[in-house]
Amino acid sequence: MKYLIVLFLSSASAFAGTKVQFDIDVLVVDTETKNVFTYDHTYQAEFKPADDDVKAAFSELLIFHTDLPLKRPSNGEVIPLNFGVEIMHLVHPKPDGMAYIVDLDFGPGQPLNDHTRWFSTYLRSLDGLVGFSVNGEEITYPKVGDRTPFVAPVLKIRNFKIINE
Amino acid sequence: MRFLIIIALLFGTQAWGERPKKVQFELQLDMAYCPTKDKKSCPFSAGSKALVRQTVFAEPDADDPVPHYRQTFTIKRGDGTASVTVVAVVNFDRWEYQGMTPVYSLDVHLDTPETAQLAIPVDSRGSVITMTELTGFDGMLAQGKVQFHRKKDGSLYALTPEILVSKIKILE
Repeated sequence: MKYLIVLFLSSASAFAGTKVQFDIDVLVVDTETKNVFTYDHTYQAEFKPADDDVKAAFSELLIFHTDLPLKRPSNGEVIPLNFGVEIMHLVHPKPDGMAYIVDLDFGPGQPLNDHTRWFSTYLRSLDGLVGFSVNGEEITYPKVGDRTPFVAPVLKIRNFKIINE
Repeated sequence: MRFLIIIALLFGTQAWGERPKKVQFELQLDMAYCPTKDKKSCPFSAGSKALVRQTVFAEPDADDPVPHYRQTFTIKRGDGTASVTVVAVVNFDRWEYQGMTPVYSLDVHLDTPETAQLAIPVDSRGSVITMTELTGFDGMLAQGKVQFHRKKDGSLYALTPEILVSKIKILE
């Protein structure tokens, strides 16, 4: 029994004020130049108490969205991409143990639309969460001769961790 | 698998850890229905009944050592007036970047049949999540490509296939 208690106590929970940190790698393949270019950055985000309209379902929420400062190396044109991470901590975990909903979106903009890749994961704990990967939609550009140039973005989140336990 | 290969190639060297050999999970396939092209108002299958709900297995085969599940489904709208054919793909793996803690990965995506075999995953929708323990997953939902259909009155509506993987058990 004491082992169970130890296990329980060692399980990370997110509370208001809990901070997380993660690194991102964004890689974009530009078919026009055949170049592959990357952007990497470290972000921090914080859980906050849920607003009144959702607090019956969620105790804390982490909502993080940001634009990515990416430009095509071939012509300096801004590539419209942003990504978001949203984590919802359930007030009442499901009978099967699910306590967190983790959403990730990656695409050209908000609101979520057909051009934004989105997925959702249900986790029992944030303890083991390390990262995500998602392929973005190809962004096409006006034809050059008989070619249709496009960039193909990939987002990888890694080293996800709670930093103020 | 191709997601993992692409990501591995793009982001660094990886070594293969001890993969699971057989994984059981529940697969649900559903269709989110949107009355208009305004997808912002689309419900993501909230409260709807799954069109497909099966307990299935991911296993390696001669072509792919990663435990995988691939199946083509044709799912219909409730009134039978439109359908979408998708290829459901689920991969379980275990791997590591050099010198880092090995992680399990769960790769869930939906392809369109026309592009399912392409090396570049055009029209593919889904993602990979990585965890230090496979038992930490309780489920993963990925949307397929939105498809538009036209009603008899000319108005457009959108069909969005969704795949939910849950109740994961490593059997071997």
